[in-house]
Amino acid sequence: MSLTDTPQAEVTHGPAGTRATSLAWTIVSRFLVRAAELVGFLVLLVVALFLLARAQGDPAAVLAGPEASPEDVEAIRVLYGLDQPLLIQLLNFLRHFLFFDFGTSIHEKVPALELALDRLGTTVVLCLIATVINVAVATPLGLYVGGTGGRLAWLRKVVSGAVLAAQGVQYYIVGMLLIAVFAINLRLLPAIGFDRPDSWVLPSIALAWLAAPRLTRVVASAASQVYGSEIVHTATAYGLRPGTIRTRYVLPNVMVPMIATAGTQFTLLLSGAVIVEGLFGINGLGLLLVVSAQNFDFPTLAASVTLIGLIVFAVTVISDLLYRLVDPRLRRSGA
Amino acid sequence: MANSDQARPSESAATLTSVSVVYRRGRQRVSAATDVSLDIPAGRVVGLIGESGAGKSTVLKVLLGLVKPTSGRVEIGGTDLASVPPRRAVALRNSIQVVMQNPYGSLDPRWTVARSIAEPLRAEARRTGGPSDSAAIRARVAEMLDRVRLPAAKAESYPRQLSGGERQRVAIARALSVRPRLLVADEPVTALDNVTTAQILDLLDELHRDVGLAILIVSHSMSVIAHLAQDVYVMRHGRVVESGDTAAILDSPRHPHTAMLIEASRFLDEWTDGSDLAPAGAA
Repeated sequence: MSLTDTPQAEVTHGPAGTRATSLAWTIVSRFLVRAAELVGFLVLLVVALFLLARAQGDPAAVLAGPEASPEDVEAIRVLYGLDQPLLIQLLNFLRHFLFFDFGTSIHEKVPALELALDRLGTTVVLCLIATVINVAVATPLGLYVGGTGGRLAWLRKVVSGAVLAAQGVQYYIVGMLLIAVFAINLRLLPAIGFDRPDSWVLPSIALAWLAAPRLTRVVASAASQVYGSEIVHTATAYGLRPGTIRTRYVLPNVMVPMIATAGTQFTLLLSGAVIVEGLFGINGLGLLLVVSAQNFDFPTLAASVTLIGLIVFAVTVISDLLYRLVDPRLRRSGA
Repeated sequence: MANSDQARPSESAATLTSVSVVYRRGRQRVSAATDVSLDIPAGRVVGLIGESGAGKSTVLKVLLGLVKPTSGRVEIGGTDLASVPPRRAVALRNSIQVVMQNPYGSLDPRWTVARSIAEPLRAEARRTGGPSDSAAIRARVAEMLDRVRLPAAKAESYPRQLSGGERQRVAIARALSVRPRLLVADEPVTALDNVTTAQILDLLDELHRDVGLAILIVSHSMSVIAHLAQDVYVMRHGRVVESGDTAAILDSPRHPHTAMLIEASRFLDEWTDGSDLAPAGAA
């Protein structure tokens, strides 16, 4: 029986782009898409903040305080334009928002944005350190749990179970235990503040606990798929050692789900920072958010929420670009 | 087309002797291969056929070192793998290369064609202490692309930019780059259309004839085996139920399962394109 010998009949899908062109295209296209998304995001944030102020009751009464007379409340209402129709108020609010003019903090009597910016650095540093711990713990553990075979296969099951158990322990409980053990009993590390490198340790670990077990499971699941793939079977056939296979094949292929998850988890860490900052007495944005909400300090609340929103947005953009950098499949796929 | 009259070389590319593989699933023991003996002579094409779950993949994994046999002996080029140090065993295993079933899954999507083909060469260079990024490797990559009849311009393409047949050619080029004595092709045409299947089988046959490459082709299709293999092993429920010369077995199968496989393939062939089964070398 004869077989055809015309391989030219096979279909191809266009020329291969160079890496530099592909990368430039990625950055420009993603920037344009994200810029459009940013506009939409900010409009939604403005409306949400506007509604939030009205949801607290009469904003004039809140701004005037509980001791104010009806005349004082009315004066505040006129002063801040709260006597205007709702649509005019929204447009005024939008105008102030566009210039990041959130007004003066009712509680601290300083510009609200200045106050929030002053606390921003602490929270970002706390979340960044927690992210580093998160990735540093989850990557090796996930690669190990997601692996197969080996002499200590039973240990893999034990570690896998421990990760699952760790996910069930709340991070603020861990924070309290860390304070009890390392600050109170052993007196090794401070329990309060965030002003020295040694004071970063306990709150960062507590916060990282919120994300690390989940990220470990994501990495393990992705690694398990890659280990079972034909790519790894083929690499094993040409004699690569397990360590080489791990670093050259498995790790790069788990980077995309890992970066995507870690990026999403940064938002989770920002919300967790509210509790951790309260637990460790850290003057960060999270604590400011809680205090301003308790005091009905709407200008500060609005400034804090806006800054957190912008951080979340920036992290999303960065992680989006990062996983396109590590995976050429996503560069021009439009995914 | 392979020639069944070709002289059978005495040297063996790989041999499995009484290999059994038992997996443990919790407290249960599942036997995936039982007392499998299989010989792949140098320069010969051997087919391994069976239904899904017959144990073909397990045998293949044992041969590639992906699964350790529970019992039995694995010899490569006449050397028992259990009797040599691990480094020597890795070098011996490197003389067996593989082309996997799924052309979409066997190439790293992050790498260009050139890098994929160069990878086993670099692995070999690292193991032997040779240069890992030399002009020799680039030249070998170009030679391999030509060998599998892919244009040189494809070297900088990514797998997603290739058709299924082209990817399978890249996988073959990658496997051949380190000059293996045995190529294991695990259902290499299952995921391909009929025309591309014919082209890939033709290419494998040409490689066998031109460079004397031994090939173990694993398939659940008797048509594929008939086109390419001079010898065939039929597996069922983890055991080899029949083996021998492909033409003889196609002509008069002794085991009912073999007869059933032949009949099923014949039926499918007639149903799809009207072709019939013919032993390797019959054309």
